[in-house]
Amino acid sequence: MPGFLIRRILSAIPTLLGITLVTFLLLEILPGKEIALAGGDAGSISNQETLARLRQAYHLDEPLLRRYGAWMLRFCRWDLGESLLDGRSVGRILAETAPRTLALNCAALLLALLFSLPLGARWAARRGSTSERAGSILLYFLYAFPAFATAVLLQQWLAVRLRLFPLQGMSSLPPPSGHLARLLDLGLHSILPVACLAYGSLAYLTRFTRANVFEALQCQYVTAGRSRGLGERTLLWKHAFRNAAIPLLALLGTLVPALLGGSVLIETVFSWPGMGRLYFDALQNRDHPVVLGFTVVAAFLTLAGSLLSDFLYCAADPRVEAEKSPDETLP
Amino acid sequence: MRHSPNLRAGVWLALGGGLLALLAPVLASEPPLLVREPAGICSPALGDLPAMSWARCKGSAPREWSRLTESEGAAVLLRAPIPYGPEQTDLDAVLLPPGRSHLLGTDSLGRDVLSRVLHGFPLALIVGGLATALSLGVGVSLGACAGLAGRWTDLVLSRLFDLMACFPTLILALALAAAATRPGVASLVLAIGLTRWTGIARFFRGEVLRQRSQLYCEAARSAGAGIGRLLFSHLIPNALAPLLVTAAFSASHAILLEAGMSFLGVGIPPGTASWGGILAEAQRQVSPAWWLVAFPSLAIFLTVLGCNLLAEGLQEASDPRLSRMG
Repeated sequence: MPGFLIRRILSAIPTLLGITLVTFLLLEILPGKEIALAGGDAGSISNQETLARLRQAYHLDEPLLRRYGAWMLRFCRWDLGESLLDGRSVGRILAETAPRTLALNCAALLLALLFSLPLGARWAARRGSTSERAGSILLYFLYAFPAFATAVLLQQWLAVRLRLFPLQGMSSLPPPSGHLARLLDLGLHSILPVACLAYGSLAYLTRFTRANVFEALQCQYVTAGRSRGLGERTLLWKHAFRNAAIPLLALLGTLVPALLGGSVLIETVFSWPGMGRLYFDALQNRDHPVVLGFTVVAAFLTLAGSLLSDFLYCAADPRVEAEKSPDETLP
Repeated sequence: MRHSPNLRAGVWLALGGGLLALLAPVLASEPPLLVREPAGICSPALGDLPAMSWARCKGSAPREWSRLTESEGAAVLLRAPIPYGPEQTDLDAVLLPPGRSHLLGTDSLGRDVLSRVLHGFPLALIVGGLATALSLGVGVSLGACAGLAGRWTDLVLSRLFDLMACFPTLILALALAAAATRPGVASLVLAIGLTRWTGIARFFRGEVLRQRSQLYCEAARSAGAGIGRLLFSHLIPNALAPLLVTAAFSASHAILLEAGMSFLGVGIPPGTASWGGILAEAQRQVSPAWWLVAFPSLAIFLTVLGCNLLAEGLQEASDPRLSRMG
């Protein structure tokens, strides 16, 4: 197993470098490069002298490769430039907002798994029954209904009309005193965003679980177990589900990009002060350093997710190690 | 097709959406469809569409058709069934719920929701279709390069696929759209199309590698077929069914992306009628206006459902073992 993991990590290094290169090129094509790099508002470049100084400071006169080198050096020190809005360091802003987004996403993922695993497994066992048919059609419809539309719908209905939930944000204004009250307040504020974010992957996860459990139930070890007299419940949960959970583990890491993309929309709807909302604001204000900073972090998280899913897969299924890693199947 | 209800439903939904997209300028338009002016019959509604300049009224610009009818003795022959343009504001009819004059209600500027939803169809379908075509083109050509060239090219291109797959689609599409100097359909198509090709490229590379070692490919090559002939008369036709399925799924994702991006207000000019734009409008209201949420959501839902059904139907048709929804 260590060999496989080390190979996998090594093969991620060129991808890591590539991500920085793509982001750098994105910075190159964004309009207003000098201003984008300067870390001040557009008015600060009033004369040619300042412009020349900026060009020199950011190596804009030098060839592309040297500029990339300089940018990489800054990047390695986690220096992503400063926000154009308030001049704060982009690295610090991201570090500040990331936990809120991660908490939201983890809660959403847990919620989605909590519903989709039992539902998927149960429907796989009762394939063809009325409840399974109705459920699968419903899931199919949910799959086509975008999460941000659901978010607007729920916000308008539950928060604006019925006033069951707070409209937006992370806490009430002014925040309640006392730790417990504050925690409750946070929980109340996060119910709708978490539900909407979970909704986004619910249909997908349930369909995936159902397909995998169904496939596992067709295997010979299930038939063998049944002939030994094992109960259907044991067969489903102890045998079929455990085997079907392995591809599911591998899937979890690949959910990262969908969750991050979803949190841009959901956090914007609910004004959740996380990375997604920050990204939207940065796009609105043409705050390029923040846009690029978030893009690079999102790509790194996605890469980390896919590495993590490989690790989990490898840990759960020792057979993986025996197979060749995908890089070695090249001709 | 007869045996696949999914494919049938998908084809019907897609045809319906396409028809609405084509007919949107005729169904909902502020200027009348037909006007008789001294010089002959003309159409102010269609006159300002591209390639329709022959229908333009001689007497005045399309926007000033009312002046035409008042002063120059022209008569309105036929009005559109929904006599409101998608961008026509009416501050006396703000946030009206669905009723007789506005079938699906109005938004906070008094714009007719039905007209805006209808005019969202061409935008969504054009962006979805063109972006899918772009990602198919890029994906198939790069995948073919990687699969056919082998060794170093393959290694570099496969790394490129891995790396581009690391960028979450919505986030990269938003960044690309922000990089575009002018918002519009072209930049939206580029932003969506250039972020969604990695899956297609990986799939096609694998397909090329798998097929290349098979006997018929070897036979074709020994008979003197060049790379181009091998690609276009053997490799692509053999992979056509899964490619079409991917294209249909890809179109549904592209439409969802377009809706999300226009919801955030990135990529299209402000004011343009789009489903995401109406939803964003709904979210800005203080008092809930359910008709601003329900109808654009329904339009997105039906279009995406149509694409998904089409994809699953095609999958079933090409692989009869998967004969039920799921």
